Amino acid sequence: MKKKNRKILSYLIKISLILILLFIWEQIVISFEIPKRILPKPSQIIDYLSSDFSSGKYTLLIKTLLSFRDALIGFSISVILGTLLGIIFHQFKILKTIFSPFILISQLLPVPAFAPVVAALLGYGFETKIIIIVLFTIFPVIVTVESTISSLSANYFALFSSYNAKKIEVIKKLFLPSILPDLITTMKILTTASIVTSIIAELPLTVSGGIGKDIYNSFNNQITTRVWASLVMLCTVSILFFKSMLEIEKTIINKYRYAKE
Amino acid sequence: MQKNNSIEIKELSILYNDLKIGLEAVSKVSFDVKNGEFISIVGPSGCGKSTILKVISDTLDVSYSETRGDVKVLGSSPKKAREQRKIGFVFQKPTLLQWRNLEKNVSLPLEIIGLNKVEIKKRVKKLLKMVELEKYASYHPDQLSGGMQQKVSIARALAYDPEILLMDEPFGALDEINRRKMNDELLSVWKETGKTIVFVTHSIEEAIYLSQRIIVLTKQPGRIKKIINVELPYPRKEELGSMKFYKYINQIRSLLENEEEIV
Repeated sequence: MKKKNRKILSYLIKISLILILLFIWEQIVISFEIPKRILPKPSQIIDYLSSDFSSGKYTLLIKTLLSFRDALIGFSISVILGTLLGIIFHQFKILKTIFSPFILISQLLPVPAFAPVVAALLGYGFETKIIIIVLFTIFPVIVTVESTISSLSANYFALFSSYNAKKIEVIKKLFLPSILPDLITTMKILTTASIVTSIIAELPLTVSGGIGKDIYNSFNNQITTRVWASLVMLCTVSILFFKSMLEIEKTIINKYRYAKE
Repeated sequence: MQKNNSIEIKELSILYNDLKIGLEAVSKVSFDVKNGEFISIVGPSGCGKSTILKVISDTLDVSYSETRGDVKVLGSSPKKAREQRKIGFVFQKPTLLQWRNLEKNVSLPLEIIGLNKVEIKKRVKKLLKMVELEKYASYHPDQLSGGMQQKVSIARALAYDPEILLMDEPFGALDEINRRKMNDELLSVWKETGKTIVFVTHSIEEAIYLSQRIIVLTKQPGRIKKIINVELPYPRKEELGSMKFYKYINQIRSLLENEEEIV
């Protein structure tokens, strides 16, 4: 089967499966007379979303985009700052030794437990939210960058040394291109992590306008349909974010022809 | 330093001190390399041949090694020679940047030096022509065979016109046929450029085929067992089957026979 046809076919299969699942869901709720506050029907969720759109208010969409915006800011800071720190940690091994335990701890702590602690220390506003997102997404970047550079063959260092290259040249021409494939892989993973952290960080803070807070409130008020509608928005945004990373990855692999030696 | 010597090494000893007991890699080695000379270093594994190249090119990791003795490269210290980019290095592995095509791989040192784009393009074209790879300029390393990658590596090492070329078993990963081809290519490059070449190899035959003099080292700690003058005319293709050639092979073989290989 031609590649293009195969793609269309798999796409159609995916859509059909989703529609079948939605249909089964709808029928289960109807047959078992499940109350709305426990599990709404897909049709009700769709209605809720369309009324939100047609009313011109788009509240759910705007709140989702706001949370996404914060996630994106934190994500970007993590990638840029994390890369910088990864290079610094490689250059100054002693810093790596000092900060390793913190890196380990940060990966073990659950965000909901730690976020209020950070908020108590640094305040309850927007900056704190970004700091929390960065704190929970930056360490994979640092570790990836540092370990990729460390695993470069000594010959490459000797090569640049024989050109008497300045450190900035080594970073530009050797380090940054070398870390790109692994960095993109880490970025793919961090797309969801940054969004999740953004949602959870909204809870203890006083920042308003995010979808996380909204989900929390509507859940407490048992407006389950709204919760589901918010989740649909969130999933859509997450998937689009992830797909854009895939596109970036494809472009870079094609342009620079990274291949295993 | 004598005027016509590129490299002068006196009583060079190299110690590795990252283990509890110090490991002496090389012990009191002395030899000179004349300008434009092609010299090989042969010896069993672990005898310090690669380490000597690292000392000459100032690329030895000093955090766990100690060097004694006197090494002069082109009249000054190895460090100065490296800073002035007088040394080109060809590694055992091609060490090309996989995200760059051939043209950009060869231009790497020139970019670092800060040459202008026009001059870079001109030089790279000439260099790729010299190793007969102009047609592959836009190819990436993974699209080429090992031999072709090493040719690029050699072209790159010559890009900034260093006086000395250090080569650490550059053809070790190639098969017999390609190795012989590369040997001839290297000799024609040497003829064309007149560089001083220090060539480290495992292969006795290759050393005799290529060099004017051969330094035979003992097993670790590497000491000079003997320095042999290869009195064969170039090109040595016809010499390959000759009695004289075999005499040299046997001579070096028996010198190395008593030196067991370090496993």
